[in-house]
Amino acid sequence: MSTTAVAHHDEHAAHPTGIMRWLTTTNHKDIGTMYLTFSLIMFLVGGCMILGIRAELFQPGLQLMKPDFFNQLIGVHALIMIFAALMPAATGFANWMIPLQIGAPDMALPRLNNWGFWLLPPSAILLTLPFTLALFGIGDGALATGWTFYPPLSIQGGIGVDFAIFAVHLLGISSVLGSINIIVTLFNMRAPGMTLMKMPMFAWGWLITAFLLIATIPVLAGAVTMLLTDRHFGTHFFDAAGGGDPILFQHLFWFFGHPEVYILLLPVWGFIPQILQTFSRKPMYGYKAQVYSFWAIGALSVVVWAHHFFTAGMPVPALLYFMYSTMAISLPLAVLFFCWIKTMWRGSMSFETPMLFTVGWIILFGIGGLTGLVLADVAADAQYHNSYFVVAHFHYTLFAGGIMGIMAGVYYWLPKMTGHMYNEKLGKLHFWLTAISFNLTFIPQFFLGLAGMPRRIPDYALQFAEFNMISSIAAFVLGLSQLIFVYNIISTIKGGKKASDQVWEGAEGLEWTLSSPPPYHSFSEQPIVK
Amino acid sequence: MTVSDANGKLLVAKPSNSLSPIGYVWLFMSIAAINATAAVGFALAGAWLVLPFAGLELLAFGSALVITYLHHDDYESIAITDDVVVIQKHSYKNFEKFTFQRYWAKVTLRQALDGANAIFIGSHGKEVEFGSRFIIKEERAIIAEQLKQQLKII
Repeated sequence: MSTTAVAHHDEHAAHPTGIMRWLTTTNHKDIGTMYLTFSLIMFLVGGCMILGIRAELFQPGLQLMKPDFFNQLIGVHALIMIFAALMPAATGFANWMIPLQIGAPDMALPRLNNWGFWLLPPSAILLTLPFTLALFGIGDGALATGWTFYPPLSIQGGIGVDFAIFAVHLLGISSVLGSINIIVTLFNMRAPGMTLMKMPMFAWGWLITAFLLIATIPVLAGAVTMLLTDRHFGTHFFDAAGGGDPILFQHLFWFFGHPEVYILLLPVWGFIPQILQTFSRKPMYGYKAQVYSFWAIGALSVVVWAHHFFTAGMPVPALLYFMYSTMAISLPLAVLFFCWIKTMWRGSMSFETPMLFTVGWIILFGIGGLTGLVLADVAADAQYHNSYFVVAHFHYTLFAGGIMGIMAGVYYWLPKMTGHMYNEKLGKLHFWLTAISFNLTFIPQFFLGLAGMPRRIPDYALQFAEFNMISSIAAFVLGLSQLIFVYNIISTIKGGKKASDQVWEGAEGLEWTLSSPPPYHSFSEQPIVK
Repeated sequence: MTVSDANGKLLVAKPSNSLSPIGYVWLFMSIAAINATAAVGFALAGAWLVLPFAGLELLAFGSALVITYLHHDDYESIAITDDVVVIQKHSYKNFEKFTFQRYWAKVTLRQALDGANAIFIGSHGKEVEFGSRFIIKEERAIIAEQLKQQLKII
């Protein structure tokens, strides 16, 4: 035999074990697992922070903490829940499921995938480190501006703002790397026969999410960098005293911030119809309508940002434009709701935990959407702005619409990922405790907002005491019930009843053709989609 | 996926690239348009520091596309001539060529490291795995059988 050879390097031929497996892995399932684990840990960290807040708000007066620390907990809670819990959870599912669903052997750029994940732990440390430093007398704690970084408060704030700015940069880089990888994977690595209009809805949701991230992250990065230079390098981008414009920051921030809502939700909207069709045992209704609605929502989401600060002051034509364009989002969203409900209509439905979470999700997210319509109304918004009504609204959107959706996804795919069935009784208990305590936490907050209680305050008038007490007790039940979720996941990873390859009777798609758990290298050969 | 000539003497296995070369251009242009619209708009409003970040992002995206495109033409091929069997493996700049005497060459189908059946071609104690990157599992047994038949035809 003769060879003219340069050694052929196949990075997937063998894989290391132990800690090095996780540090150096380029395997999409390993990286997906790391994202999901990180997300769960940060979900608990962010949850503990807000329980501190609810403990303080249990009754009027200042009991447990100073106002500045209260503000720090609120801001870091939001940043952690958005950037370190929800987004990594969606990215974890993307890593696990997109290659399986489109019949690809892995993500297109496996090393980039590894870097994307390993930027997350340092950014989480940057976000939370100022709390620890303050204990040793260094600095005055984490950022106390809320997650929005509004100047002039953020220009005047302590080192916590700087830490948060760098954390946001790292999180942004991680998101961009992930988005690039997903776009290239979805466009170039689909199995033969899988046209774009045959892609699973989850893949579509993520494709549009990735486009939104690509469009908006540079704007956020630029905005926080300008904030940094205003703080330390004598610029006056947002400093009115130097000729700058603090409202410009609000435009920049919300150009990112509003699409961010859809960045968090579109992946969930992607797998929700898949869960519905599985447990309704009938084909998904309106696939094309859902895909086009995704595109419409994605496009509209980047042109409606100023509804977040109607009260900051802007010309009437601008107010009207942002009001109508925001309300226009409800049209494609209504199409989605119709398709989801129609998928269930006359189906042979069963209510395992993923389906319970999904049906609960539709109802609760619907409330989030409808209360958003109220806030989109310029005239009404003047009343609701900066009140607890807004807090309740966005928690119906992001906790019910985001986190409960993610929980549905976890229960749906956990047997596929681990090869074991989770404990169904515990799953259902988790759902009912979560759904009931969530409503008891946030329905009172709608009433508090309507009664005029402002958000981001550690103390309040006596008239708000009862609703706050109910909300705080329910929040602790909500928090503690998540321990059932954690226990159920860990016990499923450790063992349990063996899951079949298809797992669910009505499950369809390429991922269900693989074994449970799938082999380390899935689809080293390419399946053909007909 | 595999492509073979009419008489089965040449077999080429290559990845299924769902994005065409012109598709790369369109994809990059689309992303660039979205990215630039936002960045230039805000730069005109005074937030010019958005521009370098938008540029860096486009650079990263373009690089990812270039890297992917460089593997667009990866392939594994096997050519059977009157005297020799030539196997070629191409992965970007890495190129391997293995030549076996046809008379002694032997095709086997057995389990590879990943547990799936793989095609091995070799002689005199040396062998090369063929097609595992691009040929589907179900097709490997058929192709192995075809190769065995081809080697028998003089």
